[in-house]
Amino acid sequence: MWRWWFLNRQTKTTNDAYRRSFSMNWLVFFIFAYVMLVLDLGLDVLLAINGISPSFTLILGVFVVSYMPMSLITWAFLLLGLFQDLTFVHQSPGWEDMPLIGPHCLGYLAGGLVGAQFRGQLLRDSLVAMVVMTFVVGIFVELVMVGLLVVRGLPVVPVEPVIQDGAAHELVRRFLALVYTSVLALPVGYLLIKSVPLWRFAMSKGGLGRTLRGG
Amino acid sequence: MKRSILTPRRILVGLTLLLLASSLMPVTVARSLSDKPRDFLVVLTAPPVAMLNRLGLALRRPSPPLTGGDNSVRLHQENQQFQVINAKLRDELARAQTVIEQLSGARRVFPLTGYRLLPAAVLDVAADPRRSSLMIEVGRRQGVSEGMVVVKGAHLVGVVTDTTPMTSSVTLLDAPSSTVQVEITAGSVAESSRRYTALIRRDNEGKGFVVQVGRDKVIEVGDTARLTDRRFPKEAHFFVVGTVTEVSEDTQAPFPSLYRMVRIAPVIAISRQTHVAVVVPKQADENNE
Repeated sequence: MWRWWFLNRQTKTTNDAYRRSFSMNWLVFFIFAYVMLVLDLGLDVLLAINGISPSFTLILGVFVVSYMPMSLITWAFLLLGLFQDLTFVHQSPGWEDMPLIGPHCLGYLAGGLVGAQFRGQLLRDSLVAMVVMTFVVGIFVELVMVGLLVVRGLPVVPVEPVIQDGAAHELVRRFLALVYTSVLALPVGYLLIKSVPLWRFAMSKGGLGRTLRGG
Repeated sequence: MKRSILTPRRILVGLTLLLLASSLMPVTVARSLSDKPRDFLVVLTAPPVAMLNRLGLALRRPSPPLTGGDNSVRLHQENQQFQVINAKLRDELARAQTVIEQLSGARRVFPLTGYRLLPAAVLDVAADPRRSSLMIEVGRRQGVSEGMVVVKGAHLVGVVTDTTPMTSSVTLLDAPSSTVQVEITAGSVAESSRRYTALIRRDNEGKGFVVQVGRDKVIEVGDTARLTDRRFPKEAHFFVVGTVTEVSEDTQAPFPSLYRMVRIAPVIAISRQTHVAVVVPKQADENNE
């Protein structure tokens, strides 16, 4: 009898822990995603240097990679990529604007998967780690995205090309924007780290990286 | 134990493939897919984004005379509106040019006093080769009635044989049972010194009309055949039925040495027209009003 009670209690505790490990306050995620999207679109004019603007959404992505349960990272990154795809407009000859759902989504997905592999190596609430992660994740996001746009411009694919000035030019432009984003990750990352209690992340000790306090 | 087919991993792989396909779609498809969610997101983000944009413009350019915050946003919106209007006007212009082309073609040849040309788009072409007919997008409400003539420029297309309030059915001139009386002339009606009236019939191959003519008649390739058949309304007379494309020996005639075979082909592909015009007598027009 006691044995049965003990096993039953143990199973219940394990299930609760399992459920908690998948949890996060999604409402907070959507609010932050909305704010970052608005900042991306609204501060474009103010922060642009020679037409190069930073990406607040990417910084949010890197933040959630550091804290979010593994199982949710891909979905969160897909959503962030989708928001970017829906607001970003490509230019193509003969078309005023050219919305495409896919390049940002897949780029963010790749970035999220890479970030999930790296996060164990870095301190979770360190600003330097945030900057480095932004740069590393951003490189994969941009590479996949530009790769897809290059494939779209190949002669064997009978659709409208997007990249006008060549892939190298596009990569250089995006690399500069990434450097800008990484610098901006310092102040924005600081604010995001301060907001951690709002998110109610499921904190487990294994596999999610360490904190400065040794958590 | 029953395993679910839709595991998160499989859903993710499926989504990735879908997104990959979506990245390589033509613009029209991509636009139709993303229009509604984009609009929704734009509506959600527009107020704060506009505010931040104005703030950004004000901070970066303190006293611009023409490109101030409000002006710039307003000019951008106006530019977008003008682009939409421009696209609509271009579309209307293309349609108007088609109509002008038809009407001026007919007016150039014949004054058609007392008649009005009613432009109409072709809705359908009968697929059955034994019953050549068109369905046009004007009907009784626009004053069309049975027996009215349908033209394309200076060329005769057919006659209205059936009407509904909004559509009409046109039996084409090259219908299989057609035998029509024409006048074969060289050049225009007024200038021509050679005139020959003949009853032409549709050839067996369905490519035009043929007629047997006596050897004494001077008919050359390039001569024009114009309708003079009294069964047709008088407004249809002298519209072009076709041009002579071949004058050859008629081996099947009882006396081959006396006759020649003349082949007449329509200048336009009658059953392939997208826009035609109905000749409406003004009297019928007034009655309709």
